[in-house]
Amino acid sequence: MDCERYRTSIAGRLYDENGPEDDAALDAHLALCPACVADLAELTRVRGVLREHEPEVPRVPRVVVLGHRPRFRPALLAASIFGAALVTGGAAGGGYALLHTAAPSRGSAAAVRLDAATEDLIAKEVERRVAALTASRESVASPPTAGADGRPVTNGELQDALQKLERRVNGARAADLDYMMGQVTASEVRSGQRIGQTNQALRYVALASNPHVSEQ
Amino acid sequence: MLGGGQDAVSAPTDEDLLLAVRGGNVESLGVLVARWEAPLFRFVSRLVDRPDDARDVCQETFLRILRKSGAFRDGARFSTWMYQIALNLCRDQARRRKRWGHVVVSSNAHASSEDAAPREAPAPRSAETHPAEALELRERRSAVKRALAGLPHDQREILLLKEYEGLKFREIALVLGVPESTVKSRMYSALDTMRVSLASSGIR
Repeated sequence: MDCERYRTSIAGRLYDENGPEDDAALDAHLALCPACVADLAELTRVRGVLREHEPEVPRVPRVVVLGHRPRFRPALLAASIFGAALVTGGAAGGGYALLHTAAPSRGSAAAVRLDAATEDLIAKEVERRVAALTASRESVASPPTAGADGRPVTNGELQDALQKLERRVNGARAADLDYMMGQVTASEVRSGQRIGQTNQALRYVALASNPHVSEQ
Repeated sequence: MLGGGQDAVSAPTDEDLLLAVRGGNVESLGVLVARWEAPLFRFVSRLVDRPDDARDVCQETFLRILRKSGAFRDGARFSTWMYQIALNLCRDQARRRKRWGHVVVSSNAHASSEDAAPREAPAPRSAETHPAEALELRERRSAVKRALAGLPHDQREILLLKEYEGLKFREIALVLGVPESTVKSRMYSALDTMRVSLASSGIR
């Protein structure tokens, strides 16, 4: 008996997604084939196990809502740009920075004129963040493939190297986030408009995985 | 499951929201994120090996949705498109990881991170729950997880989308770009492989 051709119908039956013709053909086959009847029963049982023992997943990264202030206050924001509230740790990727550059804020708020000292502070801060970003990226190296004396690398050495690498990668990602948030905040100060007004959702996404940013 | 989170009749559909995003209303993306982040993360985290990767893939998925909203075809389903993007990103991630596969000596090397530690599966609580039963439940759940991880990638994708995300076979076919009969056939194979794996773990 050509049982194999009924496999798709058995899958369809398990999820009640067969058309009437497939169902009728399958029923006719099952009436003659105890092996496929047993198969259907077994796979139904497997489905039950899958449902009953659904594997747990890690916590869903929290989506954060930042800066729900009643009014935008550039001076306060400028003061906070150099604070530590939005920096350190987490992984957010560089996509945001790219997007932000490509899609500047639109809106009706007039640009804010900043004094030279504030502009200077922002420039220095951005410079510092870029330097940290560059340094941290340069520190990411490949794990060794051979020991210092040419012998094959041991498992222990490899594990150590991989752990170091992972720490460096995490450092680089933290620097990415730091840089990105610096750009966001500086843009907010310069434009006099909270990016949240136009790009808020994007900001949520960018910050969703930063464990150091708390929900407000 | 598709169209998840639309809890009111008047709520805009996912597709409406995406059209709004396309029209420049970026805040609509926030609504889509709120609707879909949990299902998407659940799916992705079962497909990639590391929670960090899952987080990155989810984030990149939403960023791509924003960036490529213009490419969304009228009449298509948002969720199908989203899963398609996520699946491609998962595959890219798996390819990248594969390059390092030969030097990864322990899958627990990163278990020290808080995020890397999966939420402990709570055993169902009831007056009759005995510690031995709770232990057995945990072991069964681990066996299911191991069996899932051991499935070939193409089967695992389908099983997760079908069994845990509740997509229809025809929707999975759209996500994967294969005929519906292929999806059903792979689903059969996936369940059959699971049957064998679970049996070898003593789960009947």
